[in-house]
Amino acid sequence: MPSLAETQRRFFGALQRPFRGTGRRSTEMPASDKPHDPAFLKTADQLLRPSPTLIPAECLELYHRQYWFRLLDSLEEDFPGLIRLIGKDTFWKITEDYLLTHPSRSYTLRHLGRLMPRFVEKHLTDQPISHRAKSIAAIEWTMMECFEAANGITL
Amino acid sequence: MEPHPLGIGIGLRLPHYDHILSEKPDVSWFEIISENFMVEGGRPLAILDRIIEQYQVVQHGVGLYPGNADGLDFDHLKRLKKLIQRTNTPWISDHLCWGSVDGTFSHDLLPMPYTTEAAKRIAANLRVAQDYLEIPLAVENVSSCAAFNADEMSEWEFLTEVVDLAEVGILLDVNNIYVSSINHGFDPMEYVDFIQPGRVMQIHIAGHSKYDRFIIDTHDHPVIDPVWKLYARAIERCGPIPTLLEWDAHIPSFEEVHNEALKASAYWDAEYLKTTLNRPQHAVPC
Repeated sequence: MPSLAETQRRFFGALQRPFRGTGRRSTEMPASDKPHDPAFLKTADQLLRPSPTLIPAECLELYHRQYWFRLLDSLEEDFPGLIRLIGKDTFWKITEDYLLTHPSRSYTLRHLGRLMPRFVEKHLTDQPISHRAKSIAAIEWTMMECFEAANGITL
Repeated sequence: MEPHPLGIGIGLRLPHYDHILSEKPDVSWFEIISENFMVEGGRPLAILDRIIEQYQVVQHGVGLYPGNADGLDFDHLKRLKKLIQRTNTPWISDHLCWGSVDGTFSHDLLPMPYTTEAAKRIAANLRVAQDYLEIPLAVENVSSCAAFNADEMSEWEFLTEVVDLAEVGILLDVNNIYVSSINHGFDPMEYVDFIQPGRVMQIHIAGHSKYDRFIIDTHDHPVIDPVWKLYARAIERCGPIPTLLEWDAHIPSFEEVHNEALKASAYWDAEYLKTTLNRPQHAVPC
């Protein structure tokens, strides 16, 4: 049997794989009929046992979709202006790439969008809107920083 | 471990802030999610300070991740300790779970494999956390929809082994027990009956969402009858334990949430009455 550390690395690795399965179809993400890759299914079979009603891949899929739902919802909530500027389709495409490149490195989801301004500019390179997209993402990130910052000095 | 005298509380949630601060409803205590207030300043702490002036607050965490194989995050513990000093919480709680690997976070309460290795790891982390925070710590059973091939014991045996090794309390979530019992096919009453009453510091009740082949612990519905039955049994065994209703999504009015929570008082009162009636009486001279 794998060690606890190995179990957790493999389980979490599976959650971080690209958003597939039925969960994706219940979001506004660009449609994809790609199934889970063989590594996802192998991890499920090796780590998990079937429940009375679900096979191991379905059990892992429930955690996989919750992982993606939670992160997508957080970024959608944090960047309403960016969504209006670049449109939902572009936003979701960028967001999917963003999460695959920059998974959460903070205890709080409030910090998830920290690298979005630079990422969105890079993603939209050569498009006239790229600088404005970076600016509005930076403003929205700054609003989050203000939300949790210490009170400023009274002048 | 004697039950704390706090009664039936509800979770402090943003849609209710204005109502609570303006109407000052009669609530025994509020549970706060620690991570929502682990900030340097701004509105979250301003609201919290006003709540603390009027109510007892108990901290409940979602980010300690004591089951992480790579140990505890001491920056997190420092932030937690700072908040504890602010709230004067009588105890804190978090979950019997893991949630991050090498500094990357899932933001989920992921299930533990029920192995001796995992029990020792999570117990060691809980012991360190409780020692560092210098406050009683209770660990909550999570709901799950995955079980590991490596499991060596039941969830209730695992929970008991962990709290005995760590010398911490239990936050017994009877809704989570019900959810997991459906997902994994076990008898939830066997779970409740196995738990050592002296370890239970707090109880959670909540609603959930039922799908065709599984249940998800969504905290967005009233408590259902089978969960109330588990609650009644837990109170019967453990006595009047501080109880908290969780309602975290599709949150209705404050009154609706509070009234749902107060249904628990019926079981409390019955238990109180029974305790009183069974108390040995002094002989009355003829």
